[in-house]
Amino acid sequence: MPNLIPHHILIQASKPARYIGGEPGSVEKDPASVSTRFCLCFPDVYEVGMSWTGLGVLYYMLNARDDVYCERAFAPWADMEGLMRANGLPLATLETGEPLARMDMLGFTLGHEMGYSNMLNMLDLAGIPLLAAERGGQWPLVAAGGACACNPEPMADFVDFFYIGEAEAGFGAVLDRYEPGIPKEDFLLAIASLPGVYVPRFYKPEYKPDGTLRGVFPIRQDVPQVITKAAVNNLDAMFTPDRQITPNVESVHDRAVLEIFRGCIRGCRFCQAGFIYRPCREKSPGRLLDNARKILDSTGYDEISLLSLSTGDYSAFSELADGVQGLGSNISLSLPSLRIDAFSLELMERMEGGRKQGLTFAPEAGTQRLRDIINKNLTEEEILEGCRLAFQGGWNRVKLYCMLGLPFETDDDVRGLADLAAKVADMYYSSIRPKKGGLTVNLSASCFVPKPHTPFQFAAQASYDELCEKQQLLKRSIRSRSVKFSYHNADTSVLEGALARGDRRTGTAILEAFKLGARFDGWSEFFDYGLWKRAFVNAGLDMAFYAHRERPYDEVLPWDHIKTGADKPFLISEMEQARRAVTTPDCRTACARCGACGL
Amino acid sequence: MADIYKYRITYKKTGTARYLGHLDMMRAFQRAIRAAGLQPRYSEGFNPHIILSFAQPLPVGMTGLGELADTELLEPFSQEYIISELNAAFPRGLEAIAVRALYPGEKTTAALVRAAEYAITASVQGDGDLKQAAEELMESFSVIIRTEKKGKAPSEVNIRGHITELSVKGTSVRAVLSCGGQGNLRPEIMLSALCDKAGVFMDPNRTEYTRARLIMQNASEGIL
Ligand code: SF4
Ligand code: SF4
Repeated sequence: MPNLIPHHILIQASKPARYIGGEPGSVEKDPASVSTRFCLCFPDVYEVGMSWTGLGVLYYMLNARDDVYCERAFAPWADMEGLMRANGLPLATLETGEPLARMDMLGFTLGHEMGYSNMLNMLDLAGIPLLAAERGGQWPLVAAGGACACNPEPMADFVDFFYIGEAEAGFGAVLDRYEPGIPKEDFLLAIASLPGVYVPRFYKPEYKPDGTLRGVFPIRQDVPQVITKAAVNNLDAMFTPDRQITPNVESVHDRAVLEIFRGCIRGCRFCQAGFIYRPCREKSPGRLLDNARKILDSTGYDEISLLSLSTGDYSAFSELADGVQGLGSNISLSLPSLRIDAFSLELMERMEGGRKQGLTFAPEAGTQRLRDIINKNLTEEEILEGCRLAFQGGWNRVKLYCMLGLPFETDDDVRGLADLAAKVADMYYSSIRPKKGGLTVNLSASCFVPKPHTPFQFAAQASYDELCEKQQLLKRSIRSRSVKFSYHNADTSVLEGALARGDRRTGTAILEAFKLGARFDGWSEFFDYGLWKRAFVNAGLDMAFYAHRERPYDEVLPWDHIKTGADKPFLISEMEQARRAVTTPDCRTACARCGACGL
Repeated sequence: MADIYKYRITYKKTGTARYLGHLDMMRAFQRAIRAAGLQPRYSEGFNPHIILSFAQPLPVGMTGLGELADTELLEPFSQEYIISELNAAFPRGLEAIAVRALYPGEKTTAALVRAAEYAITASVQGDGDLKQAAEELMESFSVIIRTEKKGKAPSEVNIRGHITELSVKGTSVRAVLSCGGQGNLRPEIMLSALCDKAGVFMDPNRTEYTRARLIMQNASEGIL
């Protein structure tokens, strides 16, 4: 029986089932039988972390090895953190209740910059020194991966090594180099040249007098100058688990998940996922169906979600969807990430069950000019046609996602969003006999954050005040009573912008913020912008330098030594195409020679 | 219409499973029934779900040794098969221990439960004598508690009628209390009345409750 959190503590916590483990699909091993104890650490609460598909992949991939026991830990919710600190209870794994400090290796997933403070908090709750330089041989190795690892510098001081890219491609090779008792430095040196591995302590950033980077240079001869991400070539042949851990507490996406392809054929210029996961690689329908059957059988889920960046782009979509729906009469299909131009009568029929939930489309920008600038490759006719189909199919709720603060955006572009939403509403009333309750168009605006490895990595992010003005302008421009407008807080996005394109010095601000009490920054009830501003000031740094400054093409960027796919000259040419509002075709129509194929 | 086979599952909820809430339990059972390949019957309508009914839900944190759930299958399965397949698909701490087919027209557990037997390990401080207080309580005709509900005036309720049995050994308390739709006394309310009477202070976080069994209208139903 695992070493549980005591009853008198659990009983005081909200949703205590977050902390108990023992889920169907979780793995029990004799810890004494393995040489490496690994803990996957997710810097958000259980329900969020358990929704992340990569967690299950890593978990089963590592546990398939006889020499490794892979366990899990999530960020305790604030009430539980308080109870743990008051009772002197260290953060421990769900599987065996072993304190994290006694693991050999911790692997943090950094999917979002807003998880940075939680990662530090988890280390602190585990009683582990935060700075890699202060962790001697008695402490676990701390690894980090996930989308944020494509700019590892801001978290570099806290991490022993980053793994950049796809775990299936080469994380096994990293673990192969580990043996109990191996001195940290020796291990890190042994893995430093493996694909996707970045050991920050072997690299030193140098700065120019104006504060920009001269470069991030290796301090020894035997480590690579440029770190290339690890990627899988043949998705059908890679390790794919046939089961999932079914969470104890309803998770954000509580269903079977089938990852149908990686990467995206499109090249929307704002989209980090679209660039860092290049090239687009599909799994075959036969392999997927076999996988789907096994996952449904082992988990008992009756809903399956086809996961990818742009589900309608899957080449054998009909064949796959037919197959999945043929697996059982009570199996329902969910299709996230649908582009509006892929929406069709066929899709509509497949989503019969989900009709009440409403549809979500992402036109992103309100005018053709701006959609061309961001390379969304979507026309107004396509947007209206997609909505018309949906309305005729019985939907009367659509959500339109858009972004404010995109590069080269003018007031007309902002007002264009209100016009677009109004046209969607007109389409409803002119194309069908309105239903009782009428139509709701939810126009949801996020703030654009320039991200590393995208063409817009050079762009200045709109300031907090500008973003607020744009939000107000859009709000004022909405005339249709069917359109409901909501928007994300601009302050969160500004911080995200500063952290996303930060350099190694940014880590000081993150540490300051943690010390000031930053937690769960992705949750609006916890996010405290004032605190983060103080943290940057305390660290002697200027948020605007990172977020709101346009970066010249010849400036060395903190992530230039990390290669995830498209090369810098391509990103520059895409930025120039954006400036001229010229689109670039998708990878299937014509290869734009970005450099990602054949890395 | 297809044949329907109704089963009553007796199960334990112990250890870590104590912290699963009612909705978590519904989902755990539904997934286990499907993963076990038990051919469940689904409800009609827009959003079909597996037909499943629990007797009085067990509060979060409480151990259950003889909990009951009814479900309907489209095929008959042996009791051993149902037990072993469910247990293979349940979260840790949830364990099916008995299954029986219901006879035609038999009411659901929820409709039949009348009382429950509890075993409590009380964490108390003070000099008072719980055992003597329990004896006095059982001899009296009224045990008045004050209830305060939000937005309502406090009221006084006599809970004596809901206490069928009560005995104390050291800090172990055993009680049979009303349970179910026709009258329900939560054991922590009984215990706090008992502690008040004895003049001892109870630590609610360190007191542990076990529902040992549910007692049905027809006495034979509740015996495991
Ligand atoms: S379609 Fe565009 S926004 Fe969507 S994932 Fe692909 S590149 Fe990104
Ligand atoms: S090299 Fe060509 S096909 Fe490959 S990802 Fe880049 S643009 Fe697309």
